[in-house]
Amino acid sequence: MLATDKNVKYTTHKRVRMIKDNIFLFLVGSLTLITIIPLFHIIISIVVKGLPIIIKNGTTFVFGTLSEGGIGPAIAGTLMLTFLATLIGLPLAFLAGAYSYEYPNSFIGRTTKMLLQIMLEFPTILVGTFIMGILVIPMGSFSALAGAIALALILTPYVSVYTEEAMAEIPRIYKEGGYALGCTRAQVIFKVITKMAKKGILTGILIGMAKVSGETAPLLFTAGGLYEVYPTNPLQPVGAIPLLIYTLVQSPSIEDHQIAWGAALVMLIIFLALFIPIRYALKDEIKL
Amino acid sequence: MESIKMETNNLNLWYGDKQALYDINLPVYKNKITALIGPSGCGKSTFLRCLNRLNDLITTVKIDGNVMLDGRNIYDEDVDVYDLRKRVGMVFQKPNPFAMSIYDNITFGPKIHGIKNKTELDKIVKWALKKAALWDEVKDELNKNALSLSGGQQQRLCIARTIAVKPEVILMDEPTSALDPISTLKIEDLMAELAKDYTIVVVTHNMQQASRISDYTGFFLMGKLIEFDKTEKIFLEPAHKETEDYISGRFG
Amino acid sequence: MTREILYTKIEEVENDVMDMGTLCMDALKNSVESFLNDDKKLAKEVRENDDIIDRKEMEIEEKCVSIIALQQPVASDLRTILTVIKIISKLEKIGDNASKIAKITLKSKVNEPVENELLNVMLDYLEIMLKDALVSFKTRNEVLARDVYNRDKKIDKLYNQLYRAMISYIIENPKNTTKATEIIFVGKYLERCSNLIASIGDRVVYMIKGERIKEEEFDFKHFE
Repeated sequence: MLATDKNVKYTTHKRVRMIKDNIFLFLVGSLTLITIIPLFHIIISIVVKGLPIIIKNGTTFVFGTLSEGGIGPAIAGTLMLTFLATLIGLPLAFLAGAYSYEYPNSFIGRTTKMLLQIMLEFPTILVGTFIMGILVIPMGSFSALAGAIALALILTPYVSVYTEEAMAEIPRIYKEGGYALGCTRAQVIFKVITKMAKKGILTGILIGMAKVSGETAPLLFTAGGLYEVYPTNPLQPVGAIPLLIYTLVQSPSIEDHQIAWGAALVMLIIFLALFIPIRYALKDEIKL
Repeated sequence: MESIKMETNNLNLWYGDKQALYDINLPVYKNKITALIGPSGCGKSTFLRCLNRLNDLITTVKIDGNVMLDGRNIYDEDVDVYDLRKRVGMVFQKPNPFAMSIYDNITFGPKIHGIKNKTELDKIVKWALKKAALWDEVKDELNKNALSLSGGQQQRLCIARTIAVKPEVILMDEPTSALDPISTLKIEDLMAELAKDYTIVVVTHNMQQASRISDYTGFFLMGKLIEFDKTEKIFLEPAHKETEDYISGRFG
Repeated sequence: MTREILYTKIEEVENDVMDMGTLCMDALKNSVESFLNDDKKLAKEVRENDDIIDRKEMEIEEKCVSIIALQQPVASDLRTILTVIKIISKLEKIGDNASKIAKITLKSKVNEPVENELLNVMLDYLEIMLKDALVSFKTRNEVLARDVYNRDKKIDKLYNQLYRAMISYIIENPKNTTKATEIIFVGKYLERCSNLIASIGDRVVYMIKGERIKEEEFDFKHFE
């Protein structure tokens, strides 16, 4: 009799626990859903509103100039800016990251790390104004170079911080393994640590590139804008998709708004095209 | 008959203000296996890292005393530490092959030290893998990522990588503590084989391992070298009570 | 193959045991020969060589202890080492018996060669028995080891025969008493050797099977 009572008690207790567990799972699930709904909303509305104009204008939309109803120069501009910014920012960023990894306790190392963290959160519009002050005004015109340098400044902290963190994650034993074979400091960092931190560093580069390819603010005072011809000279003004969207949205004309949506869709596609394949390729890397 | 390859004279070491090693005088005989045993935190690994100056990497470490390699103090100012580490190689507690192919792991050291010739590198790879008793297991998949090997194979690869730079002394820091018993015995056999050509110093938590493979044993306790002698002497008739207590498991 | 060091060391002590066995065999042969031929020089040699056997025993024992302490053998490896320790102590006693026979030769009042075919037969028999015991040890031959163990009875019979023959020899002529007693002693020592060799067989069975020869197999009359 007593045993059965205990049994009943035990079952009730178990049931309460299961109910609690289910409620918890439901709560977590629905909250997650609420968080990602806006993301889906953005993607869906961009596709819904952007797709018709792209279909309507066809290849012209992708390759044509603005007056033909296309955003070709803007796409080229974005690619050019991103490429140049990466070219300029990457080596510096990588070295800065490697430095703050190797000398975490030195004054310069600590300062570098702190500055990078600050730069990560730096208002991007200020970067634009800064570059305008030191480059655009002396040179007398907007230019792709100025835009790229502004973007490079934004890219740098991402790559640096990710590089530093990815390197710091490599177990100490690999570093020592390098030294034990007679490597110098530089050889250990560039031949051992960099290779092993490849995944993290590449993630940083990708995030940095994705970030700068979508930036508007730093380009406002630096890149200028160029939508009727393709950019050829990095010292000339250049357009960019986000900049174009910004300009078009301010225009009162409905057609301009439509093109803006199309441009947004193109940007989304570029972003995903950049991100997904490399992300996927990196997945096969053996995790440490 | 038995010549001294390395020797420490009154070696003291501090981590910051805390002294970790006290007046260590320990000879390392050529082509012999010297085992260092003792409870955790007794300083045996720290001591091992003094022998190839790996402690240099820790900025708070201060060292006093001599470590002689073939009669020269390795802490002298004019010693090239990178060359020293080439002569005194090291195998670590956990297998640490680099995330690259087996081939690249072995050639990594030789390349660093300036060997570029492909045929020569091929030769070194084959030689080192054979020496480490790994050749037969991996000869058909030298381009496979080293991290896909089993733990025991990885550790033998690390040994191969170490001997590929042709060191004179091999330091081993608990080389089998992360391995299963069979892999452990394989490594032990390998060490006995390697001792014919190299001088080996091995730190081990496993007293039985020390007894099985070593020719000389040093017992560390609280940063002091309590006893150093032939392994048989240490395990059959230790001179110090602390040593006896430790090896017979009556410690603490 | 792993644990090469252990196997090399076990092999080494096994060979040492074989060497020691040969030494004992020679000692036994020489001692009986010295007795039969009244060769005092040879007897002296046997006495001196007993030291070598004793030292060999100590040496092997030290090796075994160090193997146990340093190599931690288990299962059949451990049994081998334990068996070696037992076997060498028996071999050492065989050596002692040979030495005692040599002592009889040296102290003998009868300074003339002795004719006794039975002693020769016993000796030949022991020689083969010891050889087989060692071979069964080295080759892990259980059948041979059990056979060696059982051969003890035959030597007992020979000894009894010798004993009776000597008693009648004495009765025949009391002047023969000294000589006959000496022969009985030599026979007795040989019979003891046979017991020792038989127990080597027992130990070898233990080494191979992990169990001693069963009690019912024991024939207690061999143990006086």
